[in-house]
Amino acid sequence: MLSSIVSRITITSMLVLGIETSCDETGIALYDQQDGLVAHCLHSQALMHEEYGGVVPELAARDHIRIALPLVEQALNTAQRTKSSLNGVAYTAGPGLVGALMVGACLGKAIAMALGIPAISVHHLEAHLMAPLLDNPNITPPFIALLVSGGHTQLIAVHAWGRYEILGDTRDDAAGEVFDKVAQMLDIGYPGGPAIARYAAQSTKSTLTLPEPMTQVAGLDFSFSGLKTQAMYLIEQHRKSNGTLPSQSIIDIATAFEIAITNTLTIKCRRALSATQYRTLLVSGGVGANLRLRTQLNQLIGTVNGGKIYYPRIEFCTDNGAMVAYTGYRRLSAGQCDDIPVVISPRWPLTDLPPL
Amino acid sequence: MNTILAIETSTLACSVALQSNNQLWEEYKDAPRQHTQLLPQMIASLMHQAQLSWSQLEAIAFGQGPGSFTGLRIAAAMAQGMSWAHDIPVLKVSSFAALAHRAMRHALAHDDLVDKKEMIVGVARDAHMNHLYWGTYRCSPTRLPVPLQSDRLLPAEEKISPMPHHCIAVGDAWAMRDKFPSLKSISPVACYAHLLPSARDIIALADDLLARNETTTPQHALPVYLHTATAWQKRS
Amino acid sequence: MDSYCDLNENDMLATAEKIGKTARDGGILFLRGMLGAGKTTFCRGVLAGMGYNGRVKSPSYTLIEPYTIDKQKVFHIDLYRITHSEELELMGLRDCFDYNNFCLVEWPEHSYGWLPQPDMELNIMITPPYRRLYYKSYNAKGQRLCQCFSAHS
Repeated sequence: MLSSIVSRITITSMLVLGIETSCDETGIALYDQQDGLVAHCLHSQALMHEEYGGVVPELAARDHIRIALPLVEQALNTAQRTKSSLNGVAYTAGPGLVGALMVGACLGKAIAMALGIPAISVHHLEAHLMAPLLDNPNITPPFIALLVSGGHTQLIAVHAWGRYEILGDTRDDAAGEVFDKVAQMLDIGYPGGPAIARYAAQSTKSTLTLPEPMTQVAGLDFSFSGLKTQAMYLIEQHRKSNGTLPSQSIIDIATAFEIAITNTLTIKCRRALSATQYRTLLVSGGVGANLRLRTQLNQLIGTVNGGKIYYPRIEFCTDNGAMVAYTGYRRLSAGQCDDIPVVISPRWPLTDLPPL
Repeated sequence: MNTILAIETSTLACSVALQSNNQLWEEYKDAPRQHTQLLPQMIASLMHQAQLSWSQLEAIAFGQGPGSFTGLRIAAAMAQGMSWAHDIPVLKVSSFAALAHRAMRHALAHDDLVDKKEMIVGVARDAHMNHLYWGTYRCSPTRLPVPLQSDRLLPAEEKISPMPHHCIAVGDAWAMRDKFPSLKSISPVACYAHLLPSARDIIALADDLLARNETTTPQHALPVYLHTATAWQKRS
Repeated sequence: MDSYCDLNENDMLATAEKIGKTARDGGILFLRGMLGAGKTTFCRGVLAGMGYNGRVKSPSYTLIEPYTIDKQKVFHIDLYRITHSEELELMGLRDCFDYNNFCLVEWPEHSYGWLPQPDMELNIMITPPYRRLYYKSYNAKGQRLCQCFSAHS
């Protein structure tokens, strides 16, 4: 991947089209050097995948190819710009579902080629790291980033833009994935994060507890698979003989589960901050929209001398085109762009990125 | 002759062709899982060889399928992006019609057994999961392939309507007749199981579509999968 | 599947490790069982038995997690979200099943008909406080793997 981002280009003013199709959201956005984010459109496939209890890769790809180009048109109309005013195209090239990534990458590449403008591969996780910058462009490294989504749970030391160090990673399931799976066991819908939060919000007091995994051992890694099994046991204990689960049990289990996850994430963030002596925390990814997590992390930062915390706005926590357009803009401004071949990297280590 | 760029990636073959000023350029490579890497370079290279600018293209054509879902989307996404950028009409061509055309070219060039006046071509490709893509075409040296019925997806066991004895067989399923017993009842006069559709054949059919003004918009440049989404099992 | 044994988490991991030690010459293991049954936990044990001590991420998102342990290629595959063989081809799954590789396949039931025959198939049920592991071999190699359960059945 590194070798494909070698050509140097110089552009003075810049309007960048961003395309995100790495999973189950089609996100298209336009970022302007002067005016900032001038349009962003999102088509979520969540309803379609709900019936299957998770993302079906082939169906996701089919939806992307139907939706992406109409969204590009819509974004240009919203921003009242023409295609000839585009100066660059950014597309997510990984990590993600290979078939889904290909749609956005091929479309983006074809547009860039035909318009004679540069194209840039965007790393999906770097885009998440940059999502808070859409509203706060002055966030500067170094800081700790907690990236929590359906596919990832990572603590990252951002020493500088483009220079990332993975401090902690999940040893098994990602946090968002466990939200999805437990929500499915509770039969309360997909995506699991909002569903569990909705039930947990109805709890007056928590009567059940679940263990907080990996908090009793040193280190910054996560493990949520055991928590999933514990939740499963709890669900089976509460199941009535006719197979149903009383709604109070759903509320109690959802609450216990949410608390176990948010406590774990908070404890690990505290450790990461103290290990690096960094005072700023940046939170991104779908689970970053969880209110209990935000409350706890705000409290944590309140205890850090000179501590600051940044989140993307709620709509940019989950996958979106805006963060891709912005990240592409940053890399294109730094003179980077892709070679001619479209290179998809379903597994692309964040640490392989060139400095910015 | 119209100025047309064509892409065909419905199989492991990756090919691009460009027709302009009575000339035809083609790049063709058997390259499983490398289509995205190869296509942009192939396209750029042909545009350069023909010394064409994008706005000189009168249409962009692509093989709509049936075939590899991913391959179809790669071709469709590339066609969408390029045509949208310059408001160029899109031509959707059946990858099976293209394969029938390739079979005809092959028969004319190599095989004396075939009745050259009129040919019936049976196109059969493995659709996996015990299914078969099936299409039948009539063509002749002076007439492009015309479908006798629409391309379709058939269960491996399903009977196929009888084919004339002088028919030509093309497509990988003909080399897997144990898997597709329905093909055993047909004895074609020539069998080209190894042939794959190419962009050159897409051009031939696209030229005719453009003459008949059967174009579509970039937004409607979508694959024809034949496998519908209802084939997916939902989990209760 | 007729044979089974009831194991607690530690015994299940110990058995999985034994299977990992036995399976040094490649093979295919199918793992069935509902969400949270412990399929990935079992795979973690197998990988540990093969000598791998690093992270074993759930492949639910990436679909395939590859490992190389002492030159032995191991693929941990999750087919939960897969419902069409085209996707299997796209993932390059065919290459995973090359002769000497060891493949751990979760949710194989969605891709029967495309997948090669396994050497052994496991079905993990939750029967608190134990897990009930049904196992079945399909050939001599599978029988060797199944013997790892003998101490517990």
